[in-house]
Amino acid sequence: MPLRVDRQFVEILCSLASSTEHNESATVAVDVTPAATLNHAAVIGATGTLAVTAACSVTTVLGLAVSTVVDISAFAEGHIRLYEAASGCGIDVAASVLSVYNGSATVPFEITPAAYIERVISRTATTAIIVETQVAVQGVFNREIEVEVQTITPTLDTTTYLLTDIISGLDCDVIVNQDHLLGTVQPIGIRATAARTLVRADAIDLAASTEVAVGVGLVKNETGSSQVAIPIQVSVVVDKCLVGSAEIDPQCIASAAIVRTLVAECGIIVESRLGYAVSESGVEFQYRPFIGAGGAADPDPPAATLADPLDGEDGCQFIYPAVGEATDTLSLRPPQLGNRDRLSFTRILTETRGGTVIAYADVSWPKTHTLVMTFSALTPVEKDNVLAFFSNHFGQEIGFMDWERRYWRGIVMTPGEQAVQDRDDSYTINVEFEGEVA
Amino acid sequence: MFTLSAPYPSQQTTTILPNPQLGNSEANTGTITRKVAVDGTRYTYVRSSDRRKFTWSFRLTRNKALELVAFIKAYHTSAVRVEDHSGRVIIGVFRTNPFEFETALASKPAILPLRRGEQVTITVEFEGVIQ
Repeated sequence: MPLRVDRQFVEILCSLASSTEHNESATVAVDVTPAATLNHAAVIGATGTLAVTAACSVTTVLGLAVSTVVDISAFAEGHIRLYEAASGCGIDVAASVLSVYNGSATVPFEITPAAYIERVISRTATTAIIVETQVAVQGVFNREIEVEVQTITPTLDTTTYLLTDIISGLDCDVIVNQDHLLGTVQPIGIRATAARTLVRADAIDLAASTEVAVGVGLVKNETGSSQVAIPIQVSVVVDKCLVGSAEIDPQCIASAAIVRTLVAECGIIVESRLGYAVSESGVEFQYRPFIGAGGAADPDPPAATLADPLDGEDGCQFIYPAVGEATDTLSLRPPQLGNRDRLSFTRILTETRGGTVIAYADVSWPKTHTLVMTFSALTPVEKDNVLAFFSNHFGQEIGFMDWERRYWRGIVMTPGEQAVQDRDDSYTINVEFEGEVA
Repeated sequence: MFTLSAPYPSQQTTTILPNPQLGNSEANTGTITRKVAVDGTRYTYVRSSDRRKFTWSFRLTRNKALELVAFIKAYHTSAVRVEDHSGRVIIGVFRTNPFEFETALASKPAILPLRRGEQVTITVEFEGVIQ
């Protein structure tokens, strides 16, 4: 039987076979208005389950940024089976619905750490994240409706003489296909908690975990209701994060212990020196130098005492050689008064630009001590002996024992000195002897 | 009393001498150079100084002369502090070279440990700044 059914109108073309006394044929156009439509159907019962499972784990490394956006994708799927039964207008409708839901959601997380880095051991940051998710569920409804189509037969009422339609049974099957699109948009509040430990200046080891619970409620208004719970477990592990320069708490206290080993040398030498002089009786005549404590760079002071004189005859003696056994000697009387001790030094006297006079002499530079003596009243023999001695030891080192019994070693500087005869048998000669006390 | 102390400023050794003989002198050490330009203008170039040159003659005993000899040998290149017979303090150096100690006279009695009594004269030139 061809049957064309749409939602609003059902037209059934059928051939009727009736057993009447009159063999006649009739074509009956039957308008079938389904008493049961979707709108008219009364839901007498529905059961459905929608299990949505979603899992997402994100492991990321947070860089040095104020905010980080993490995309979390969730996928949900499930099925709902609905059972419906409707009755009305003499039409009983029984329907079963099988819905398949597929849903996916992409949740962008924008994590804005409110935690700023400071020099603390641990801290906790709380971030409020608003997740807007959209789950689109497309369901396919397959409905099978069994409809009893009744046949109207006009019958003459003998009482009223009117034709009365007598409805007799007529069966018809109706299948309705309908798509439903269910959608919901629900903001989901997510609270993220980050725990941070061990904040250091250069690198920070920290870990954060975020638990996100997403609850999505799907309500099917017409055919049923279902609850969708999407647990999303999000864990964020941050291995290392550098310090954001803008987030550093300036109130940091740094302490450093610096141990320095200082070695200093001072070129200033402080010396204690003591010099003294005592005005005692006879100090102007005696050999009495007052020698105190001098510095290390001071010259050697003179001797504190005078050497005792040697015993000997009055007179002086020239001795050759100066060292060793004497082979030639010349004895004379002491020289005349007026003899001189001549001290000569090799030194430098300079005047600086500022007018200071500086005297300098190296210790190795020569110092000459010359004895200038005049011998008078020499007999001719003594005169000849003197000239002969000086001639024999010309330029040679000789010894000289003076009238104070001090022994000198040196040379005669005036070997060609003239011996002047100032009276009969009397000669005078000048001698310069340069040497030092042995 | 005439005092020589050297080296200055440590003044390790001090020698006390009798006052010098009359005839001592002192003079400035500044110098002047005169130049005359072709037009007759006279220019002078001077070298001024605070130093003075002193000349003292001492008559010493033989022992004191030996002490002075030892003093000069030790400090002939050192700065010497002199406190002269007027009580003035002068810091300077010896300018004399050579030093001649002349035994001019004999004196009695001898001062021990020397057996002879003699008088030694010496003339010292000294250049320094009066303090």
